[in-house]
Amino acid sequence: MKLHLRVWRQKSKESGGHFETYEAEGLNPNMSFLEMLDVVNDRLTQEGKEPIAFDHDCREGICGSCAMAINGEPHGPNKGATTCQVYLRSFKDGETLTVEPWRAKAFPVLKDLVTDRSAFDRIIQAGGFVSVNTGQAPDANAMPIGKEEAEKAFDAAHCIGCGACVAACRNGSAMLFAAAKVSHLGLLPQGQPERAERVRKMVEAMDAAGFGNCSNQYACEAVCPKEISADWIARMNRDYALSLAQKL
Amino acid sequence: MTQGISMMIRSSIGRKWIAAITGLLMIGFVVVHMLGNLQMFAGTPDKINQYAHLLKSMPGVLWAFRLGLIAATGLHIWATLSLARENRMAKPQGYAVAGRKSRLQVTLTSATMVISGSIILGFVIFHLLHFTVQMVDRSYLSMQTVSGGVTMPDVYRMVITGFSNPWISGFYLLAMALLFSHLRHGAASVFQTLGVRDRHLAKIIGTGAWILAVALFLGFAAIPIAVLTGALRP
Amino acid sequence: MKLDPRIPDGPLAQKWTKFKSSVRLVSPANKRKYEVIVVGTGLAGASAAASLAELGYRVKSFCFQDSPRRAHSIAAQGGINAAKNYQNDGDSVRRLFQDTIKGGDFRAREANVHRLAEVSVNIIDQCVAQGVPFAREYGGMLANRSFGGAQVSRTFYARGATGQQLLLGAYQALSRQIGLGRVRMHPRHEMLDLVVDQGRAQGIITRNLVTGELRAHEADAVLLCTGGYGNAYYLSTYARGSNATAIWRAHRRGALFSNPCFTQIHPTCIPVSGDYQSKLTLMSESLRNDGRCWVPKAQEDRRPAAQIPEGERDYFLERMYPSYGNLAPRDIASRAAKRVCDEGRGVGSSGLGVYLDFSEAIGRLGESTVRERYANLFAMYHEITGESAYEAPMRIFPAVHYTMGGLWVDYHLMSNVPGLFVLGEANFSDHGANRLGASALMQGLADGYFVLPYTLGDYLAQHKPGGAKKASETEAFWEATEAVQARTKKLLGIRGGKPVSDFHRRLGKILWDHCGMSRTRKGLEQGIDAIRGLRKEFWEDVNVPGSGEDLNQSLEKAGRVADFLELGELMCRDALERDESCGCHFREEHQTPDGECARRDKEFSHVSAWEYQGEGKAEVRHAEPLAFEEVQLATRSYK
Repeated sequence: MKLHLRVWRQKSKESGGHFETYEAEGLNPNMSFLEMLDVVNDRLTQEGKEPIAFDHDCREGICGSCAMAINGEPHGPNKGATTCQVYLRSFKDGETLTVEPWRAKAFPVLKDLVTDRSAFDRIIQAGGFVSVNTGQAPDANAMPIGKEEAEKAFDAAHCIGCGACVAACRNGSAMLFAAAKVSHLGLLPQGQPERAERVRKMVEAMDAAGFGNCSNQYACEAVCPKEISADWIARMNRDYALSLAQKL
Repeated sequence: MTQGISMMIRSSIGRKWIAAITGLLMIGFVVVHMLGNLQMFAGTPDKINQYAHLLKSMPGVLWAFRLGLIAATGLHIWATLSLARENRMAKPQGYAVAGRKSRLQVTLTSATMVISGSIILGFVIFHLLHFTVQMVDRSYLSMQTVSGGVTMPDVYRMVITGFSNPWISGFYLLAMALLFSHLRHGAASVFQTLGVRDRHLAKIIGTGAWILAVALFLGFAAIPIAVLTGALRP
Repeated sequence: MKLDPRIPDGPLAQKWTKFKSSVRLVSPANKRKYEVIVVGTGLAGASAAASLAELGYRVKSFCFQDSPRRAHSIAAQGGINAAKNYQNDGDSVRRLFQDTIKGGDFRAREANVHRLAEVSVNIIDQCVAQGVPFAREYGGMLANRSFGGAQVSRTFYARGATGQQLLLGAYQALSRQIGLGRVRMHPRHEMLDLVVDQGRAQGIITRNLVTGELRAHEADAVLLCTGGYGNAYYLSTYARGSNATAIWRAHRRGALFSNPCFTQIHPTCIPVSGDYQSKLTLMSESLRNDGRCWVPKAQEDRRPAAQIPEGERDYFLERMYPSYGNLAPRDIASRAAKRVCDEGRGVGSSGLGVYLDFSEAIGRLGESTVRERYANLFAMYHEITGESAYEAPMRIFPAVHYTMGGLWVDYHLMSNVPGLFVLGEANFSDHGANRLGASALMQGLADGYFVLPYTLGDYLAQHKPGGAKKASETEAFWEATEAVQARTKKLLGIRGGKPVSDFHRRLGKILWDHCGMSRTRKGLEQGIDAIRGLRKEFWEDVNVPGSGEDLNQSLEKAGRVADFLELGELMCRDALERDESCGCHFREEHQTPDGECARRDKEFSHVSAWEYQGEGKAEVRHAEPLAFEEVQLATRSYK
């Protein structure tokens, strides 16, 4: 099969970018989308051109590195899948695909499809943890946690920090990412002592990083490769208000 | 205390709470307002005229409500516009092709909240000048009626006179349509911002918001339509 | 060279306790005067960096990914072992220790493994306190599952994403220290050289992968937590970025490399589907709790699985290893799968695959229970193959998954270069010739949370605080920086005819064919020749476009593949010199009549440790003898 690609090329953070078109031919429908880019890149290298830079690592949908919009869709057309989990059988032979980096002010483009997502790390650094030093922990079974509570916490904790939520949001909001971590820790007894302070600090860091605000349209939820629920956003809004009320 | 207020004013979620609570207050007002208006259909002009007179006879209460509403409106506008400005800055560039999954989430009504809100604000100002300050049509000042032996403004006649003008009725209907649009997303959004929505309630909240928005539209629109079609006459 | 493992004396079970109570300490006021470099942010690196910062050391942390949260520990699926005995099924520290030694086919150091088993229980406590959402029973207690090579249920898990949850726990602890300013984090930085001065590790040279800037960083100690080197095989379950550069550069600076030929081939991966393939995906070993491996009894039986009657199926693991059945250790299961495929009974279009069948489990437990246990794995399988494992059996085949070999370290996790510590998969220490499932996460976190914080203090206490010289003032740093610069220039200057991936793929094929699941003297010798030829060709004909002054992924790959081309040869040499079969290392010349590993304990009950001699020169092999005082050397049997 073959595909026509329109790929965003940008030399550096400071420079402007533009689309370039490439023909990808002789493809196998069982190839992953990134393997197709590998093939295109090898050909570009052979032609003496610079290959397309893109972030990728585990290629099994868990590290959260790969980050590109295919036809305006963060991670491409599949539901609950990262870019590396998209296979060419999801596309029609001869289809034109427009490939772009995440678009958000808080995620500046570094080169081609590579963006700087360190703003997410700063949100976690502000409070996305339980303050327990190594060695301070009591026995693991000392604190029972109901099966359902643990499962819910896992659902929230499963976020891979890829940034698709921000990329899909028309406001470039990071609410789903922040809410998933606030909820993961807030659902567990271990997270209670810092619960109010955590949400306050994380929201402060989120706001400072230049993300937009949630306007409750849930595009984030629709594109999330781990299908993290927007319910967590409501939960974070509630947690935040409780935290704020303590300061009133 | 000051830290809490500063958090509320500065943070994204704090301002969303302000927008949601003030929005709720305004929803409460428009519901009451609509119910009041429906007295136009009481069969006698006295009903609405006496209602208007009753409100005017309690200036303290009336002004407390008015000032509260003005404050709520002001806060609502400030909070939402400041959020919207940040939203625009946070997304300086969109995608060359619009994605299907994300596009499906964005409805026309949710994408046009600032526009619908602004036009509604414009309408409210006009509406106040029209019926409350009575600057649009100075003849309103002299429209008086006697009901139960008391002389009072003839609100019934003012309404009929006003809506007999197709331009005014048209603007009114447009504003009510936009109010429907604004509330369809806004009324549902309130629940998410206030943290009471989840995927089980989402359907109920969405439908509820739609029903409320439709009911308000029909309730308000009924009057100019009735006037224009002659169902309501002086 | 005499290799001193510095194992404390005394009875095995008391060594670690004794060590901890007699170890030298650094006072709290002095800790902040020491600077420590931690390279890598996986389970070992993140846990070490966080724990050291909590103690008060100043830490500089580096990772090549854009965020420390993306290290490949994140992809571990099945679970983490700990001798908690919460199931009351007879587990103990002693039993975990024995299982690990036996699982490693008696090629690991007793003292290290016993310590690992001891601290395993603390790891679970620590992770739970951090908020890791482990699976629970309805009563709120932690749930366990069983894994290969054990007859108890001691594996803790968080659905099929245990590695992710553990790593996020460590990442969050690290993030807390970054937020507090005690760790300076350098993402998108790759370590390209180790600086050794006056016989001690003094710092590293890094390349900023965004700007291309080379920088020297000095420190009182350097920790390498950079994972394994399985990507030498090109196709593996590793992340695409996983590489050996940090440990290989350290090796070239004098650190000994141990047991490089010990590479784990995991039995349950999705089979290769074509030449373009960049990556193999693991299906967690936990699936073997409920899935049954089989192939048709007849050769070239091309009927769909459902049409093959029960009587014509060979449940080969249950047949060959009745007591462990489908939960036989990885090396054994992989070789069994290879054997049935070699017999022409493999399934799938390539004939390189066996079935992993859940129909019996679905019948016994119901589809919903199976779904609850493995939904994300089944979904992953569906995404990749387009097939539903609820309806037809999965097809699986072995793939490179882990490397037991790595830099030589002593009981303190310090290499033979003073001040250079190696943690996690990057060292050789705990798994011998085969790692048991759910033990990698255990080792990474044991090293980082509970072992290194003690042993590092012992080293630093012997050196004056603030002793690290300024990088700018030391010749060794200039020399190392210039060496890195020269190499970068050389790679960019070749402008040959082939992309880096071409060489990588060919190296992988050589290693898989000659240094894979089954090895022979002749094959290994051929492999060494082929790698030498390929390496020569690489340096003449590789094409690395772009410049060194910005983000250049071709350059990154080229540097890593250049190192794999050297390491690959050493892997083959180690396999050649280890003239016995043990664990994952199966030399066809040494097998029992029924095709199992035949160890030669008298000659090879030792750890090999290779010393670099310079470009193009043959490395020198040293050996650290392994003394087994507590466990009886026995022929490993899972029958």
